[in-house]
Amino acid sequence: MGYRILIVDDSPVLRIMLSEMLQELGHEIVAEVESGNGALEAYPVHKPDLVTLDVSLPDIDGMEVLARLKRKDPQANVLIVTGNDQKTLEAKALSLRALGVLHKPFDAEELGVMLDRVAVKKT
Amino acid sequence: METFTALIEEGVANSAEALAKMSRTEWGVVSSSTKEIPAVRLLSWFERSKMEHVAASFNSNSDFPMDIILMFSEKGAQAVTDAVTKPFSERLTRMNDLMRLTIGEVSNIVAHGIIGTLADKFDQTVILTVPEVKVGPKAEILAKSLERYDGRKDVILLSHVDMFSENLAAECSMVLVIDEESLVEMFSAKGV
Repeated sequence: MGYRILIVDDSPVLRIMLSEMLQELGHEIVAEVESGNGALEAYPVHKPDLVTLDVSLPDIDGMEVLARLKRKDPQANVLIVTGNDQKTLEAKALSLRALGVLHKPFDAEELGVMLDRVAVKKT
Repeated sequence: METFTALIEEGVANSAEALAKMSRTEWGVVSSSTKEIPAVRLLSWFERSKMEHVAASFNSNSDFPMDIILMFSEKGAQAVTDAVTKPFSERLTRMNDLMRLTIGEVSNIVAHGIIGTLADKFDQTVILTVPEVKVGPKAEILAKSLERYDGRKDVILLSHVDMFSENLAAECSMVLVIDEESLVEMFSAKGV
């Protein structure tokens, strides 16, 4: 079953790439935003099943956005999608209860595998 | 500085792999070198080339103060853009400013490949700013990017990478501006 997904990434190129891969995998994109504040505003409006969240954002960094989303909604499902593959960042994201961390660059197959893992965690 | 330079070289290798994956192109690295260089000499060297380049600049957070500038020749930037965006729909390929936007995202991933190696070595978390993309001759871009440079405490490292694939060639210069005192402190804390 497809997810309703909110994409949060400062790069319009990445937003389109991710959106097309997710739709090919059978998911619905409810909104695409480029900033942390945009994510915090869009989340309660769209109530997505999943948020894909970049870490480097123009206003608030993704770790702070993750923490705020979790305070607003402890059930929020957030997948970190980042070019940042640092070990301490991944540990921090998981400690803030992100579902997982997907490292850029990735292809549709790797994205699908990660979403399958997320699905397991959701049930 | 030699240990630090070796870490940068390791990061460059990781970045070449990331670029290959993004562009679905096997890039061979013809040459790669990293060295410390004075700002005046670097500017003077870059002055020799009047060709347009596409550059992305990043800053890191305060725990690991660093500026990073990645520069691609315009031809290389176009080749990378074409390779990265090819499998996607017209929504992407018809975007205004596609080359600048794509190089911003590619540079983001390349820069993280380098920073990640350093951050892991020092058990730090480094979050880079979003890319600021500029187009122009190398010296002009560098001069703008060095506005925060302080010659009394900062050092500059230049990495130059020449890459080729079956049909394409790309040249990428990376300039790192690092606060030397912070770097020494991190090495001392790590016992390196």
